Amino acid sequence: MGLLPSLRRFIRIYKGYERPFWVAQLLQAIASIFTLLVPLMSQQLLDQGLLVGNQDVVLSSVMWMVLFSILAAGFSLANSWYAVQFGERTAHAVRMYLYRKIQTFSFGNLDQFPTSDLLVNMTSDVNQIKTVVEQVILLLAQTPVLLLGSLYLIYANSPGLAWIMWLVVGVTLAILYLALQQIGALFEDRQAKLDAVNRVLQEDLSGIRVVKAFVQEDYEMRRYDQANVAFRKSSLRPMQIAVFIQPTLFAIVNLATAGALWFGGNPTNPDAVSVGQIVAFSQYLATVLIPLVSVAIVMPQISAAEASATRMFHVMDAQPTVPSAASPTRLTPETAQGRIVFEHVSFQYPPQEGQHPTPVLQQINLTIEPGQTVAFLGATGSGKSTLVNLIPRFYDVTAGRITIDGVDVRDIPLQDLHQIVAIALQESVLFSGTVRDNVCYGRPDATEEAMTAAAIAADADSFVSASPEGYDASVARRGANFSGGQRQRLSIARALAVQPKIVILDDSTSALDMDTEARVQDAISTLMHGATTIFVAQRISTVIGADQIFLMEAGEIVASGTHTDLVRTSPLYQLICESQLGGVPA
Amino acid sequence: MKPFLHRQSPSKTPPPPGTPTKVQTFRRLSRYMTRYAGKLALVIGLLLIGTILNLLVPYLLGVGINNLSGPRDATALQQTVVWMVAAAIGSWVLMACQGQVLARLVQQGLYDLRQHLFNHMMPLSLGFFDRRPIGELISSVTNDSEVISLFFRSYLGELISQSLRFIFLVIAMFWLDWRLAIAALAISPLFTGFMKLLSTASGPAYQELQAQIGELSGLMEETVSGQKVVIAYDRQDEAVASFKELSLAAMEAGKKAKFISQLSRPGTLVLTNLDIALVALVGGFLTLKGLTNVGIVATFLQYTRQLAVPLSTFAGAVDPLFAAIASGERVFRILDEKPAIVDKPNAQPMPPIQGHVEFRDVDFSYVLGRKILKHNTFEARPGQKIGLCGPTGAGKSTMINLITRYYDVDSGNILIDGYSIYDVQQEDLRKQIGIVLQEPFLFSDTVMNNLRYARLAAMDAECMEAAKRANAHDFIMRLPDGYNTLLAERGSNLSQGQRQLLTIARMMVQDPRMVILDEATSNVDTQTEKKIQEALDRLMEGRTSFVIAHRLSTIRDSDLILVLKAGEIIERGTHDEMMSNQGFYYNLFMSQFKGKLEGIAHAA
Repeated sequence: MGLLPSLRRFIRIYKGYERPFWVAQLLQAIASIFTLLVPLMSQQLLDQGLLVGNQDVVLSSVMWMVLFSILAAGFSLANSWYAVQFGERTAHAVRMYLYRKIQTFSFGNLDQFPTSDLLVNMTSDVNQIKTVVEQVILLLAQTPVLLLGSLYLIYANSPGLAWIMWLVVGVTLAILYLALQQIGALFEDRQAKLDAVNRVLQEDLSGIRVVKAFVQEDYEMRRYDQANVAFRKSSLRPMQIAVFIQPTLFAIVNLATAGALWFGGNPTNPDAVSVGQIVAFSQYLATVLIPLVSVAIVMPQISAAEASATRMFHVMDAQPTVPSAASPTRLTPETAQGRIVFEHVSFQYPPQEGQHPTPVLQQINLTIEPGQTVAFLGATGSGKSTLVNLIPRFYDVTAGRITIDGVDVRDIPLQDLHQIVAIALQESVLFSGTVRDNVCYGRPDATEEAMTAAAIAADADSFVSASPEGYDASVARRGANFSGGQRQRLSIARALAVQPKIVILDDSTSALDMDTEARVQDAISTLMHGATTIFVAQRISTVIGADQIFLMEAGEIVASGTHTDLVRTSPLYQLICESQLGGVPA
Repeated sequence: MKPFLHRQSPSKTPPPPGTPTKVQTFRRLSRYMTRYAGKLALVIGLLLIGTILNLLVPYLLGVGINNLSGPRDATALQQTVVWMVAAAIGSWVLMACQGQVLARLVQQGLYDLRQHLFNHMMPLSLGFFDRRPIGELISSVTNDSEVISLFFRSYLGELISQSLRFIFLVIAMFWLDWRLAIAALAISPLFTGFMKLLSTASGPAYQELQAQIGELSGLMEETVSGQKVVIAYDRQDEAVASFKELSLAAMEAGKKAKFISQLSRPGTLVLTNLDIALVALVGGFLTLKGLTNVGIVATFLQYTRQLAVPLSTFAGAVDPLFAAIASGERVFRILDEKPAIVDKPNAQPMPPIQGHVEFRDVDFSYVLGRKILKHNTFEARPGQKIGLCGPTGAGKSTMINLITRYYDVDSGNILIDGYSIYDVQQEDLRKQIGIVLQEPFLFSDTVMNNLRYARLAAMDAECMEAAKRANAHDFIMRLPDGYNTLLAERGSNLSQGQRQLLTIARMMVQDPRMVILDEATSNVDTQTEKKIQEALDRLMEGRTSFVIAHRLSTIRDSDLILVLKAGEIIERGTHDEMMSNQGFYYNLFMSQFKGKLEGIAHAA
């Protein structure tokens, strides 16, 4: 696998941006060179200045030192600027990559990735990678330049001591490599434990009502504690290795200094060096210390970034479960009639890891003529919602096919399909923005009249117009400033505003009282005259006026017909009527 | 037309008054570490000795240099070198040990912070959670802890050891030659001044950055959790465009904040190098005057060079430190929240509820000025079934929030068995009231564990019995692993109705003394609902229950039906009474037939 496979893969996103990067490195390299020259001046000061009592040399050395310092700082500043630019741009690019990828997801993909994990990806993981990018840019040129520079200068001055430097470099590299190896796997474990902690947190925050209803705050604290402890332990392990790095580097430098003194100063050594050279050597060692210390700090972060990059690619590599049409057929809302046919359709959800696939729909065959109002009625878990979710291709059938006007839905480009079929989902989700934004969400170019008409039909216009801002009123995140029933009605309005040929309302009148529901249904049939309307419902009152009612049980259609037909022929239907209306109508 | 863009620019909102200073926040954060005084003392002790040993090396170098400047004495040299090696190894051992102790300490401190935060949030009142989008709360908590963690993990050890190093360097320098020491330390006031400048400049920049990140996280959470709608309406491109705008804004804010704090690096570089130059100058001058010798100057140059290490460490730590402080501020804002609903100081435990519930002229609003309930007064005898109906937004669910004291009334009183609910302990009250909510919420755990959540001490058999009574047992047995089936997060392995059944079963495990059903059966089809109704009837026998339903068949047989409209009880009575009155309730009831079935055998 090699070292840091995910990060290496990650670096490829920088294709095309190499030039600024190398410029930044050049700047840092120059800064480092100037930094190196300062100890050179110290050497000069001592050897040619103080030891011989030459005042002029002392002064000129100092002046050069000052000059070099300022130059070094200037170039380093430029490099810092680049580093920050790079880091932030990287964060932005990675965020966009991930978000775009999530936008290509279909329902099946969303089932695979819990929201909290995706959020951690987009925040914590992105941060980790960004931090490392910044650090690398700041340090990358510095370290080899300082090392090579020091080596060169030592060779130039005291070749006898150069071998010590080689030893230092070699041992240091070996240690860093070993550390990286060890820490890498440990960080992956840490990120996984972080996921676990966050999952508990998210669950408890989303379900806080339930926690409080059952007075289980103490239990939850214990549960969180467990995950927290596991996270603490997994955090400790890489840190334990990381804290070894710096003292070891220091020790190496100290031993090297001792070595320099011994080998350089030993009178029996033919390559005996001057005092100034020994001092310069130790100065170069100290110079090298600074980047080494930084590397010691950054190294564990690199391991963490590797783990983050791996998780990022896990998301990036997900295949959309609903692939685009291979041979697209154009079927526009204008040309579509709205005739839906199910041919031997079976379906089961894509299995999660370690779980068995559960068949949900078996051998569904039905035909819905254009302009009909049909309803799906059935027991809990009978498959009604699943069935209608197949029409707009939120999931693909596992057997059989579904056609609209004779065209297999898989051959219709999704964008067209979603203009033809509009659905108000079971869970009515609104987005922050204005009411107008939300109602026109599916059709941003809708006219004012069209939008209002849709809102009126959904019985939403009454409460929207009642507020002072009307359609410009703001919607809080998730539509929290509207009641459940109001959200449902806005959600219906949204579907109607698309002016589709097929409208699906999935249990979207459950929060409305009978009166309102009746009005809405009438209004919809008026507005959507000619469109096919599909209701998925629990209440007889919802389905009673349908042209066709499909009664479902355990993934199959057990009876179909009008209300009158079913009352006559279906015992199951009679049962439902009785429990809901308190009697079978004559 | 792009949604998501209507927000006030975050920097225009001024920070609330009484905001703590950076130093105060840092101190408060540090307390998580300093509470382990013993371990911390050990760390500092080890660091002390380790640093001394480390500093011995350049000192001994100076000794050796002086040796070499004169006639070379091999034995003395050898001794010096041996001491150097010993110091190096000794230092290594001590530093390595301290690293281990420090690592444990830091991780423990961070664990404490996380746990403290969580434990503090759990008991907060519902109002706290309702006011904030969950996504923001979660990413604030997780992100901010991570940022704080990064600082303490990676930089704390360094800062302590480098500070000690700095102190020792200063002592050593003064011990050697006070004149050169002063020259060397000329850098300090400059350094401090420089850091202060950076701190002031970066403050607003970091606040802006945090605000932008908060916005971004909020948007992310909203769309990712509502992604199904984005897919259904093909609005992916717009979502990306909106996100891009926010991401770019965050990027710009980040560039500004980071660059300012990055200035510390070149700044430190120039200061330390200038310092060396100064020392060289002064040292050279003094040597030439015979006031000091080459060896000492050499050592001093070494020390001054060494000074650069702690200083550049401080410089490098500036960015993570500021980030950690900014995160600390956000974390402490949560920790400073107090629960809005508190027990009275002498709150009594609630004796077993008989079920006589009274609302006396109750008024309530979530937000000041928008009354949800007005002058609600009614009485329910023990064992009665009270039905609540009315248009959406009328305030029915709110009533539930008040009985269970998730929120407190504005005026009026609520009594159970003659006790005002404001005089009893909340937890006691809630334990005895069973609630099934409109939106079924289950944990991603096994079915059995979800059932057991109501009463941790319940046996498996009890849970299964409850499931049978709720008619959930059959479909549970049809699941791949039966009661041990793991429930997925978005619940795609169960339908809404099945999830609701499980929550009803869960309540049956709880076996409460009072029951509240908040439109609990509206997502369940009526065939199954019938069976549940039977079970619930059994459960409700002898117990007071409140049922909210749109499906009027559910509440038809209530002892008392309250019709709520715009927060007021406009009609009340039994089904028969109100049907004969032919008022609001009558219209509501008849509308479910929509005139399609005239001549239906009178359902009355």
